Amino acid sequence: MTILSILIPVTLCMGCVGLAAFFWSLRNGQYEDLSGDAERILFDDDRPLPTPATKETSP
Amino acid sequence: MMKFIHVLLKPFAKFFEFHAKTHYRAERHSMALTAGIIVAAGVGGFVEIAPLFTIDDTVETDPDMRLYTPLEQAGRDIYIREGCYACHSQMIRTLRDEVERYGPYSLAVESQYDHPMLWGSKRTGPDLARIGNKYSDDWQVRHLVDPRALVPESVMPHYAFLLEEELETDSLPGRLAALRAVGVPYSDEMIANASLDANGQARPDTDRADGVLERYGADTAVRVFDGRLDRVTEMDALVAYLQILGNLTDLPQRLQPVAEE
Amino acid sequence: MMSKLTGFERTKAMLITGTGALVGLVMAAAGHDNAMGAHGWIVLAFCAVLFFFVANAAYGPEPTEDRATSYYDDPTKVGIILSLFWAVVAMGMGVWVAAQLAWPDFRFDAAWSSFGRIRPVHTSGVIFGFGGNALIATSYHIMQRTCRARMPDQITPWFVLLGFNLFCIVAASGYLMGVTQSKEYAEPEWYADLWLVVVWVAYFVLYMRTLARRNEPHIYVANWYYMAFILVVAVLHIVNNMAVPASFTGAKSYSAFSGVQDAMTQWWYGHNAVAFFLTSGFLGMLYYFLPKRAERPIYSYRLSILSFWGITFFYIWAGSHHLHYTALPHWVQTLGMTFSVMLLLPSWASAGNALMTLNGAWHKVRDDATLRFMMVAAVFYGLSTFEGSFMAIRPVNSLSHYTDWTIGHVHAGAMGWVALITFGSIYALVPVLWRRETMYSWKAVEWHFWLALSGTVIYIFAMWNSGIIQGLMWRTYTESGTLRYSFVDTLIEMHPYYIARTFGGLLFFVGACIGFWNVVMTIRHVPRAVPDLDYPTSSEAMEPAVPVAE
Repeated sequence: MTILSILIPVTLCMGCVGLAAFFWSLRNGQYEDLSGDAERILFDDDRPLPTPATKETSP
Repeated sequence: MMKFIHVLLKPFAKFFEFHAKTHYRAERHSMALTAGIIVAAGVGGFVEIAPLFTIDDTVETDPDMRLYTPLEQAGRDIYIREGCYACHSQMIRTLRDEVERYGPYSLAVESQYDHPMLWGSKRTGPDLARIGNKYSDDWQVRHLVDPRALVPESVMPHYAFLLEEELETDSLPGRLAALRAVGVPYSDEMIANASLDANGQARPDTDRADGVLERYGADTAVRVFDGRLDRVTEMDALVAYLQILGNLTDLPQRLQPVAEE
Repeated sequence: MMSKLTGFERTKAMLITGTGALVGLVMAAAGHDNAMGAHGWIVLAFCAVLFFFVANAAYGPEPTEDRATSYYDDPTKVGIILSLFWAVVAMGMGVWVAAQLAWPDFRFDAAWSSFGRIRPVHTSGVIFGFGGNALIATSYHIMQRTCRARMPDQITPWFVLLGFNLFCIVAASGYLMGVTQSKEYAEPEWYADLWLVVVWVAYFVLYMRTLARRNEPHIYVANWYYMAFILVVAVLHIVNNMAVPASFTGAKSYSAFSGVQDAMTQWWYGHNAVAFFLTSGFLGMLYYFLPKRAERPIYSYRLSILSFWGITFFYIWAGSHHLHYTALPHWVQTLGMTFSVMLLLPSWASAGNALMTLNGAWHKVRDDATLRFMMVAAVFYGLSTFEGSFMAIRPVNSLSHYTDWTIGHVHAGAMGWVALITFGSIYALVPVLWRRETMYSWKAVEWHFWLALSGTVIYIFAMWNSGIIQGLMWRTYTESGTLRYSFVDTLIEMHPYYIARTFGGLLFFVGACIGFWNVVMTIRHVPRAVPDLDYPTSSEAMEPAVPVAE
């Protein structure tokens, strides 16, 4: 059963990563416009949006 | 009826008010809510995890627990290679009908040297945890060569080719060394003599057999497992392995544990 | 396809495939007297073929397309084809393997064709070959479109897709040669496992880089599911496969874990493989393709988020329900059981969400087999998650464990949920990707649907019957208090059900073949259309049901 001394820290780590991800998503405003998010996938013109000048483009 | 409930709950009204207000505030502040959830879940977690540190009591130890001999380990590797675990389990559960059908339920210690474990997840064929010495070597060989000759309704594949394949033993020292690296206490002597011992265990007529008894115990089965004296085959290895299953330790018989239900 | 790569990218590709070929050569030499050597030749051949494919076009003209204005879809297209190819191969193996239980001599008189060796070819083939390729391909499509950004580079997606397929080939060929760890759904040996880590890290980095360059600030929920799939599978794979090779010139290795510890690790892996590979990833598929095809937004976006966090949190704990009444400590079994039951809530949140999304679109479900695939998949998802939570309860498990009921449950999920949502998504995606107005034959899609559904139902009913009968027979006592049935008695009872399930699988397999044929015919024979919008319609009409965004 000494395997639990690996498995439990690993699981807690994963849990913490999950928790951190959740808080990031909350802070980043991922849940601000839920109906918009749902509708948005229904419209696209199969073209990427133009990238702002400040961002890097592909090599 | 509703009036009765109202009367009953009235004294607690203040508490419900406080609870509702606090929860409303907590819902607006996700950190507080999260903290609350963690505390709530944490209690249960802590209660279940603390006993973990006395876990040594839950898994039995047995200093007399036998290692697999090189021949038996080779047999185990053949068992894995052929996918026998897909139809046969090696774990007798703590259920009354299983204990009656297969023998004392499997203890954790019995598979402590099984890298990896072969507890199995399906019984297309019967459980093999205590198949050791239940049938003669000859029966095992005949059954592996043609299962339906002995059990007409069996759906098991035939493994006649095992009788023709000479056992490859050159890699055995390396395999035992790898097993030692993951915690199986093979000695230097055992590793150095692995190929010799594998051949010796299936050839009681030679003096190589003595080394096996010396290193693994006087009870070690040294027999012509596949019924053929001319060479040591994969059949020897597999049958040697099958015949040791359930016999690595006599702790289950000593403990006589009672099945759960 | 090659023309879309720059000269520099082609050079990189040749370097990678060239290195791979060299590694194969080294493996072939080092393992010359064992299976690893054979694998070396396979790796060498695979990489050499790719190398020459790239080298042939090495001096072609540079691509002219403006990468800022289009998505990179070539790997997605190849991934779809590979997924369907594996479906045909692996489901065919499944039918063969099932037939062997009914007719054990339905094989060749050679070691490689025994049940024990070909079974994992089926399981790995469908999970990793069919499912894995579908996940990779659809993730490429979905992440680009929901991020409104093209993938960051053009070599990594190919490396991941083709590297992953090399893993699948090494795995399948290995099983036939007897190269296996015996750990379920983690059978491949150490060098294949190491290779998968490399491929998977590349996949994870690719995903993160695409998200980082997104032009749509919001990350659509499907991406969360895919991210959980990628991340958790990586951890599971690495921990469960820790092993020491017996020699670096051979395939054999020994697990770092043994006995109870290994049982726990294996089923922590095994159950979470189902959770994150076969559920999380495919929920990502469901959350994108079902609303798109139904032309309706997800019923409750809130619910999808809840479901995501619930599944991600609860599933990890559930693994020990595979080990009820075994030598695993009782409290661990109880912990797993408890979380397994709680898991039902977030699972049904997704299933319910999917079905409620179809409100107002049920006429489309009636008319459009592609959408119907997805709807039935959601229903089976609900069914199997209920069944799973139910079977995780200890007393229920005492009956079901080791019987065909477990197999029935697996296939309700694998055929009813995973395969059906994959086929639905593929049928929705193919016309869009290849710019065709419709699939080659909508009738063939209908045929596939009904074959798949009836095959699944027959299979499950057969296994429910055989499993419960066998479980009950094992525990039946006579009046005098002795066991009534020998093991062989129970095996004899299984025979008609083994035949029935082979037939069910056969129907399913035929459906998959029809699907493969239909997709190939669509690519080759349906005239190219350039619709105004990337707008998959659910019927023959081109009229979108929702107004166009300006």
